[in-house]
Amino acid sequence: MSSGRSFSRLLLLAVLLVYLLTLLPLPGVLIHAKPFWLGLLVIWLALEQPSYGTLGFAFALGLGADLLLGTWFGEHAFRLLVIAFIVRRFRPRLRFFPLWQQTAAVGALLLNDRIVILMLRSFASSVSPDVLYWLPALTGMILWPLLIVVLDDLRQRLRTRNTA
Amino acid sequence: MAVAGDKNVLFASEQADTLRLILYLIIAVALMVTDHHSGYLRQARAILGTLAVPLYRVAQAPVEAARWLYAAGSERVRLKEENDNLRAELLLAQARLNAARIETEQNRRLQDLLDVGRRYRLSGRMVRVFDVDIGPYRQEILLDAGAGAGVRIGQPVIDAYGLVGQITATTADSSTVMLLTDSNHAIPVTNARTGQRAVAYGQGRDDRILLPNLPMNSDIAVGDELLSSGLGGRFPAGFPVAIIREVGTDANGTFAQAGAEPLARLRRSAELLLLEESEETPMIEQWPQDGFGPPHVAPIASGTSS
Repeated sequence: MSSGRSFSRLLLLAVLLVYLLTLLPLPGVLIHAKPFWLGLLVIWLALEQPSYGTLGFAFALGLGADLLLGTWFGEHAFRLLVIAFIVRRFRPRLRFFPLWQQTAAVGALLLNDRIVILMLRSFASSVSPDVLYWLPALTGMILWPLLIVVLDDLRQRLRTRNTA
Repeated sequence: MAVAGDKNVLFASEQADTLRLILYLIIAVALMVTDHHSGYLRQARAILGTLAVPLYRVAQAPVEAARWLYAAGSERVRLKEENDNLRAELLLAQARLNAARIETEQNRRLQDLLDVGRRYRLSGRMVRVFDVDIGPYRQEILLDAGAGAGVRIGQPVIDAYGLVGQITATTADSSTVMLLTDSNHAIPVTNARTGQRAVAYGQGRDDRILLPNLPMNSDIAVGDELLSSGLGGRFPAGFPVAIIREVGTDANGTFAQAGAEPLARLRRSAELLLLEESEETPMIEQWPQDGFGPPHVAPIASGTSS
């Protein structure tokens, strides 16, 4: 755990990167396909680095996103809290799922997140989502295995560099 | 290493996590309700919002780079063609502007005759749009200018084709425009052909605004142009807003309603115009001392009494 300092620094970078990815404009229909990057980050942290992926972290990350995107304060915080809590609760099981099963679980989590948004929004005004509305959950799920592979590789390298 | 990290989580009580979840969720809900129903958090947002501006700039950098690469990579011929087109358009616009200037002059003289006391002078200011994605379902866009540059809440925003919306929030360096397609937005309009007045409501869709509750016998047809009527005082009168695309009746069949397509290119403009209304110095010089009778108006008074 001597890499704690460098990990928090990396985490800060990751948070900035995730915020940027969230804001990044995409052309055409791709804009509807943008995955919920913040959610993916929270899921990964809660799974692999539970001492960082806490509920407090999810809450703070969400508030930052609310400020950035101009949504109600607390909206993203609420969504990320729900995700973080579920992942932490079922962490022992999720962690030892085979990859495809884990991917399916992540897809379910992201789908649930879309429903949470609808629930929150419906308090203010009536909402009627179209098919494209559910697309981010799908793209997030598809990206998950890639993300896992890349991040695991990154962590492996970091570890070997630290021990060397 | 992994085992050491796992230990405290394996034995961490789940109840503590649940309690914390409830606490955080309550805070989040309280924040959302406060934000939605009152203006308490607007101040916080206005101050903290400036922190977000550098991130907006970085996030739109790839788009700008792509645009630059496109310009650099496209052939000279294409650019020449584009340039020629633009020049032709400019000429046309110039001609129209001249025609408009004559009308403006006539208008001014008529207004002088009518002696309108309160008069607005419209001026526009170019403002860049932040090319960042704040959610495809949000009928809002971010502008690269804020309270520091004189942007005020409520200012109308237009582009070259029509009305876009109005400013709903500002920070020191950025501001939010609510598009007229937002489901919380309404704008008073008149039909350019018939002069009939109505209110157009946003629907949360990019390509439609709705004119509900029109009288059944109202003369409204597909293709009619809607102009801002200026009622309510928020939007200046006479700006193109939308064009009628469908006319029908509401669900009960008691009222007619019409769907219109906004004329402004709501999401495709890189730059928008902020309208500024500066009140021209009123013509009324002074009110009569004895408290009744018409006020003395400067030019006429000097012309006739002497």
